[in-house]
Amino acid sequence: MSVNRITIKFFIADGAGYEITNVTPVFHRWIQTEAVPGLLIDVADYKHVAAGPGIILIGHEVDYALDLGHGRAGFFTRRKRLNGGTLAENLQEALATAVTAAHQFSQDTGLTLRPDEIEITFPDRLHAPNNDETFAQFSQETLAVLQKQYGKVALRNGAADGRRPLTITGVIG
Amino acid sequence: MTIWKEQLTIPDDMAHEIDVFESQMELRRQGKIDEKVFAETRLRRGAYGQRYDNGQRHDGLTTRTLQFPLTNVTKGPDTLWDAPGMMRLKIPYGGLNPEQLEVLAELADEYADGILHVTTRQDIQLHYVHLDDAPDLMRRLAAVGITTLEACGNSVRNVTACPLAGVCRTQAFDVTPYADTLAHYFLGHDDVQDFGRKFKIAFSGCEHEACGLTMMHDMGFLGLTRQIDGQTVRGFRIYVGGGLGTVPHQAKVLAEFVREEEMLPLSQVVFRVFARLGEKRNRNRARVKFLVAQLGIEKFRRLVYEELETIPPDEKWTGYLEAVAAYQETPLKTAVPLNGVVHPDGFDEWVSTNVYPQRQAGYTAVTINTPLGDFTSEQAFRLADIARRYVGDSIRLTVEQNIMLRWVSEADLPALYADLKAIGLGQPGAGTIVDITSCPGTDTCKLGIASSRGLAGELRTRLAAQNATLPQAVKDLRIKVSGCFNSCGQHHVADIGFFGNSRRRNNRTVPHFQVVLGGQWRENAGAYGLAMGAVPSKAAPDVLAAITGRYAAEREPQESFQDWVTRLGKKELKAIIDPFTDVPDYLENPTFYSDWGDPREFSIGDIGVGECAGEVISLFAFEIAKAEGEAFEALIALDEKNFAEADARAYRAMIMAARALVRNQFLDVGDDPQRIVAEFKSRYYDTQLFYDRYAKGKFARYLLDRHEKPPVTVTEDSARALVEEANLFIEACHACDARLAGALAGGVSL
Repeated sequence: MSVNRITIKFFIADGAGYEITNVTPVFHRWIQTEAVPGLLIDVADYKHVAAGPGIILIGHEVDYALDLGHGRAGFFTRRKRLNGGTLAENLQEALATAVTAAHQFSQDTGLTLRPDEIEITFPDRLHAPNNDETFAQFSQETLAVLQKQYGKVALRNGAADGRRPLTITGVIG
Repeated sequence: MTIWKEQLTIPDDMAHEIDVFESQMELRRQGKIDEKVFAETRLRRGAYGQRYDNGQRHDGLTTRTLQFPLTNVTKGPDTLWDAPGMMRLKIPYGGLNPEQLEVLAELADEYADGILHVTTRQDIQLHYVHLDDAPDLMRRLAAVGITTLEACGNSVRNVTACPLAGVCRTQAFDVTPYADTLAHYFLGHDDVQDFGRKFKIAFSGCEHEACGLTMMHDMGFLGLTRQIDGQTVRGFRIYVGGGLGTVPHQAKVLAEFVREEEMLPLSQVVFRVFARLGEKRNRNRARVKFLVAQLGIEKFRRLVYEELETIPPDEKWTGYLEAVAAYQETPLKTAVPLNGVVHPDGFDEWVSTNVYPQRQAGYTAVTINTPLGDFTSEQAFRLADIARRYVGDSIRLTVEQNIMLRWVSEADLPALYADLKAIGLGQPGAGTIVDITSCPGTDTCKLGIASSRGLAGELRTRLAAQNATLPQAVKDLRIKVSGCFNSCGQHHVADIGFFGNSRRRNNRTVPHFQVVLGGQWRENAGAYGLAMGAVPSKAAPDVLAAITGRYAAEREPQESFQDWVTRLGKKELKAIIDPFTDVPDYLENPTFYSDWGDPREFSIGDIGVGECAGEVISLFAFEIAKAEGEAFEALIALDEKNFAEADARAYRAMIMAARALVRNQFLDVGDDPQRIVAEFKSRYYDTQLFYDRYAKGKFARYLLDRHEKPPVTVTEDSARALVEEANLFIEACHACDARLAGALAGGVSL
């Protein structure tokens, strides 16, 4: 069992007063210096869209964003073009990429990411339909991966609307 | 492992098309389809390239190579397979239902960047899509009745229509069913496969409103009625030869009035004349507007009507009319007036700009102002809920990149407003100066020179902040921005338009915008604006303020912006713009040397070869590529030990290949295998044109024998043999075509 995409989002602890466009030159610099994993392509600006993806750094196998989805600002890493591997392996890899990039993001923007919350989304309705059965299955695998990284973690369903991609929210610690 | 193909219920013809395209993708990966042929093939399936897909990008310091995994596989000339692309859908007259909106939301989540983009032709585009995802994306769309076929490429593009069609107070009649019929009748039609360039069609129900913009389209249909023998007869004034592009052309009247039953045959013969006589080598002069200009409308009309005498009749030309007569949208809810309800904050302003009282008493059409045409998957899901709650299926996309809900009961307006606000789509200002249209520009388009979306976003922000103090005459203006001179942002028909270009200043390249003034949106895009001068991109907002300030201060009572522009004259207008043309020295203000929303030092090095012009390939090449796709499907079926299917597909591949060859001589052979084989036999086998020098008629016999004697029982051996024979037959068709082309070029009489 595997999925084609995994998105991991860390939430910004205190972004009050931060001008979102400040992240644009950061992302362009990441492209110049290959600062984060993946083939980095371009920066897409969606700051004009309410509760949207904000500013995205588009890559080939991974996107990064200062994301405003569901009204909560955060930094996400979207691992895509996953091809093969088990769910656990892909989660492990996506999490490692996300953690690395999150460190870089905090360093370069001065924004602190909350250490006690994480949101993992699986935008792949064929392999990860958003239902109770899949949630149970995926939670098990996700918990194992997160516990390895963080220790104590409690999970809950982050997307009650079955139309949205399967989303698992983790409270860490 | 489960796959989408197994999960979905898709109409057979759509499923087959997508299967064939998927096979063509595999053949391209293996290098077995020419890259130009494949480029046009994928364009005609809505799979477009994006900026940097040649694998090169200037990062602000230097041009870097993007090291995609597949370095030696291309999806077109100078277009790498792995580079992200754009998928354009085809949504006739912009009509969507909630179920379709939900699927679009899913696709944006799973294959794109989470954003749905409304285009200036009532379509949706998804950006940063990998080509490998295209077949599944197409299947999921097909399952809800949406195609991507001929959304791009040298064919008939999406058919647009005024979003108020059916509810408009000034319409002659509802043009919706006609736009829908024309769009579907010509989808994949034989007579739209051999164009030198794209062909855009629009429908209008009103002559004097902005409506469908028939004057700026390759072909426009203006709905009219006439009293004939005491009856009210529906029909159209047909326009042809309009278009924006680099140099805009106003359409000419092809026919002052044709009855509704003539709509399809007349369109068909226009396509035939365009396919036969339109320019195919010089892409810059290949639109039908150039043909009409070259021939003159009188001669073009004569050729069209001569062609009408020759085409075989089709009962479908009139078969749809009964359904049209019965066509009626049914509102979800009973109309209830808005009586004494307390208006929430902002409601009155929103109503004044976004709500249109329909011709049907008590109902309104509500425009949802999507910023730069963008909305998220989440918003799409919520909009689907909102539509179900208030209007049912009546959702339309607009060419101003907005979304319209029709048949909203007046009494529901406050609740609808609150619901839209809750999802971030309750902004007022639809159709006003803050509602700026923009093409994708340098964000994703290979041809973009300056950042149209960057400028549009900046103007939108500034104007929204000033909105309370702007004079009404200024609020009523329309701004449109294009990233280059190709006018995908429709800057020619804006009151104030901008199109991107660049200038060398102080030894650096500086992004600029040409200012275009006085275009006319009303009267169906009645007049085009004039270019007044180029200003640095970063000065464009100040130029706008200067122009609108002068207009507000100097206009005479009721004077339109177009009339003010005409009265002031080009010299005076230029004098307003001139002070803003200076570019400060780099050290004094380096921001002028980068564009809106992009901190990189500006460069034109990333401009690529656009795909809007597609690839002109011969009709034979295009059709034989489909046959090859079918033959590949036969091979797959053989591998899966599905021998009956392998036999059927191999036979169908040969029929398609024969048809490709026959159409070199006889365009109207149709789809009936019986007829195709008969024509192939008489034209190519009996004449020995198909004969190979050594094998003689052997390869032709593969088709003829299989056609004359289909197997009673298909075995593994017989299927395997037929698959081999199909491939050999296709090769022989290629060889025949090449032989005959060489003979023709050499002046040999056949």
